[in-house]
Parts: sequence; structure tokens; C-alpha cells
Amino acid sequence: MHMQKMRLLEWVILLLFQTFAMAQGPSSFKKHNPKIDPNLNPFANSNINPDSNSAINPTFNWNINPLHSNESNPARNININPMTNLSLNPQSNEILNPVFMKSLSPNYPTWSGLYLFNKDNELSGYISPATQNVMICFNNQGEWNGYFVRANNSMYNFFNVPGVWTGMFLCADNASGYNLFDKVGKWTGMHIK
Amino acid sequence: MIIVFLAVLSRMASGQVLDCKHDPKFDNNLSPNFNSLINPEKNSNINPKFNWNINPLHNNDVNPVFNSTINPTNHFEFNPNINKDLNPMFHNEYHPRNPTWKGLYLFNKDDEVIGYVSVATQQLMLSFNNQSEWTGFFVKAANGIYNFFDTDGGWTGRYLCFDSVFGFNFFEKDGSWLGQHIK
Repeated sequence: MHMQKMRLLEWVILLLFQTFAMAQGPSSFKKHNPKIDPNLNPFANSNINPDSNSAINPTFNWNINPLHSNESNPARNININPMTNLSLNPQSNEILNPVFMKSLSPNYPTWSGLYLFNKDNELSGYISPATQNVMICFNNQGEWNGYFVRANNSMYNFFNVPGVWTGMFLCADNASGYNLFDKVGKWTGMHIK
Repeated sequence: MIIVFLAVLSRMASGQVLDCKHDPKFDNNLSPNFNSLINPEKNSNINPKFNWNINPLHNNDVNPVFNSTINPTNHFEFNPNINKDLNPMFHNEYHPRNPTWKGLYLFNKDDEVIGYVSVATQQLMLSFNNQSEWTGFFVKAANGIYNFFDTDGGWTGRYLCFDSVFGFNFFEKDGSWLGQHIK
């Protein structure tokens, strides 16, 4: 009788532990989760928030604004445009294409990558760095919806799957990730960690 | 929750927190409303309507239309449009939303902050509105006088005159003072 109680207790403890672990998510995600680590949250850490740090805001820093810097504008710099530089284009370069390279897909069992969060710090997508110059983007259903191409040390432009520049771009937050801006340079509130 | 919100808010504003050393509401000596020495309506020496040495409409030496040496159109060393090293949109340390920013503040007649001024060089100061948008720049014309140019380098006709003690008063094209001052 005593042994049965002990086993039941062990079973309950194990069940509670598993439930807790599932609620926390995979350990790799925890390290990226701004809801767990406030340093990763732009609404708690002003250094990585473009509204409070002009150095990382393209509206106030034209070095990181494709509308004001021709070098980082794919319409004016053919080297960073995947339509003209096919080595950056997943449609032409299979190594960058998640349809062929399954390990780039967030559904792949051993996938590791970055996470896209919305302004409420909720997960809204996945990012797979494919090379130093290209990062593949997926929505929160794991569907491929575009890719980022490096424009300079702290910027990536966002292209849709066929390779057309959406006008959106990423700027490094100078600490732990990137912020996503729309085509007029306004922060969308979305960020990558 | 309120404390967290206030803490976040205060951190977000860190680059532009008004230093009490510049605040005319904190120190009445800095306010032209209280200190007649720095008020051009009470001190003719600092009023270009009564002192034509400091009035570009009456003194060609300080008028950029007549004196090309103080006109940024011809001068790389104080034109942010042709010198990226002086442009706050490319050198972010001049931008008031940079967390490490230090500079001067533009006040209205009620001593409320309506803009920011970054001192770039001895000849050039950069101006921003209270939304931190770059609005133009001041170029030194003579001791105590700066002409105000828009971001494209066109002279607006407005200018600053030293208040003889702490800062500057901002005058309109016709020499009238609307109460704006820099500290």
C-alpha cells in the first residue's frame, strides 16, 4: 500500500514537471523570449527601442535608412538586390531555399533560429539565418513568406518570396536583435530576437 | 504597475530630460520674464530693433545675403547639407533623441520647451523641434549673432542674439521678438 502511494506521488510530480516544462516552451525559445527576459523587450529596455534611441531609428539616423542612403537601397544598389545578384535569391540559389533545404524550416525537428515578435511581444514568425547575407522568414504557421538580405553591417531589406523588395527593412538594435520598419521608416513595433 | 510604467517612461525620455541648469522654470534668472537683463524688451543693448550692430537688416557684415563668408551655400565647413560630418541625420550624436545627447533647449514665451539645439562646432548649431525633427541650423555671423537657415540651407531671415548673460533670444525677420529664447 505504501509503495503504491509512493509511485502515485512520483507520477504526480513527473506530470507536474512535464506540464511546467511544456508551458515554458523549448529551452532555445526561452533565451529569445522578451516576456521572460526584459532585456530583450524594447518596451522595457529603452536602449533597444527606436522611439527612445535615435541611433537605431532610421527616421532620425539616415545612415540606416534606405530612402536616404543609396548604398542600402536595393533599387539603387544592384549588389544587394536579389533580382540582379542571384546568389542572394532563394529562387535561384537552392541552398537558400527552404523548400529544398528542409533544415531551414522552423518545422524541422532540430531547427534553431530567431523569432519575430509583435508589439505585444507575442510570437508572430520565425527567422532562419541561411548565410551571413540572407535570412529566411516564416509566419507563425511556419509558412515561408519572404527573406531578408543584408544591406550593410546593421541593416537587412525584406523581400517577398518572388524577390520583390517590400520596402520594409530591419535595423540592428545594437544589443540583442533587430527592429522591423515599414517602407517610410516607421517602426512597426515588431522585433526579432 | 504604475511604478513600472513611470520607470519605463523615464528611461524612454532619458536623452531629452530637461537639465535643471537650463530650466527657466526652475531658475528664474534664466527666464526673460523675471530677469530684465536678458529680456530684449527691457534691455535695448540686446534688442536688434534698438541696436543695429546686431541687426542683419541694418548691418551687412552680419547679413548672409551681403556677406558670403557667413553664408553656408559657399561654405563646406558649416553646411550640414554638403558636409555629412555636421549632419545630425548621419551623425547621430547631434540628435536630441540619442541617449547620450547634451545640448541647449529652445523655450517659448511661457518658458516651455519647444525645441532642442545641438552645438556642432563653434560656428554651427543644429535646431530641432519638440518632436526631435531636424528643422534647420544656426550659423555664426559675429560674436553673439547666429543666422537661422532651413535644412536646405536657405536663410529664413530669423536670427539669434546673445542675451548678454546666459543664452540667446530668437528674433523674427523684421527684428521683432516673440519671446522665444535658448538656454
